[in-house]
Amino acid sequence: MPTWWTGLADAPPDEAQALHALGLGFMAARTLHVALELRLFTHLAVGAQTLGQVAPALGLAERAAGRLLYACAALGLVQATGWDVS
Amino acid sequence: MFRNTPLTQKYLVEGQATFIGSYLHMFDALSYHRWEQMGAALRHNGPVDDLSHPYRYLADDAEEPQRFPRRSTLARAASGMPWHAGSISRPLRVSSTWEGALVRTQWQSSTAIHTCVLSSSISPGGSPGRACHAFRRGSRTACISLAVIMNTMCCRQARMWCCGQAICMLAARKAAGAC
Repeated sequence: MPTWWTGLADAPPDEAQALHALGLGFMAARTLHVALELRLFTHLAVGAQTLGQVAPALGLAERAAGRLLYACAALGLVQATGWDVS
Repeated sequence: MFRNTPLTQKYLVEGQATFIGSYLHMFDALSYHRWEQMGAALRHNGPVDDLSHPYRYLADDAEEPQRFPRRSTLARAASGMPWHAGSISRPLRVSSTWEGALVRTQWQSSTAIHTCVLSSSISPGGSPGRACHAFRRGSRTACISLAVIMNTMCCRQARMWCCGQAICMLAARKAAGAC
């Protein structure tokens, strides 16, 4: 996993994934900022919760909350159990 | 079921001493719009401020140093109005050094030396970069935000404004409850 943008100087020449990660970095950043804005992590601080519990706490529809939660899970910000990533 | 990862639990949960979420979010709130304008700013070779943007005031009226009285500085800052640093401590002596992506700015007032690390890269659109720094002046802890003229990506003396965003207020509250 490439680290931050300063890490690219040492990236192997065939490491296109590093450029990909850099180019799409705004998606990860926006996901983090929106999760902070909605106080997702503070809501989850009490312990594991279901999508049905998180969504109303954030004031979101379940579908929307699910998208945010799975995006955060993909980024490693949230752990999702019972979620098949294969 | 969803739960926080250990990293998230430590740094992104409000109310904890290690919480940095508001600091991270400040960059989004203050600079995302500027970064969005980066291409246009480079082609234009200058600021391309969107006058309808809520943070436009940070680039406005650089030549009006004494617009606001010294009192209620923080209240004005919190409401998003510009504030000239000279109103609280003059003369200021500012020196800056580049350290990678950061500018370390040190300024000296009659009472103390204050150091602040600014992210120098947060405003490529030509508007001021900002950072928040809680400082102690006498018995009172206040919080200011520096604005750095980013047209030349360097600090200029006496060109500082207060922005007083949430992180500033939070820092000040944590420091002394003075805000």
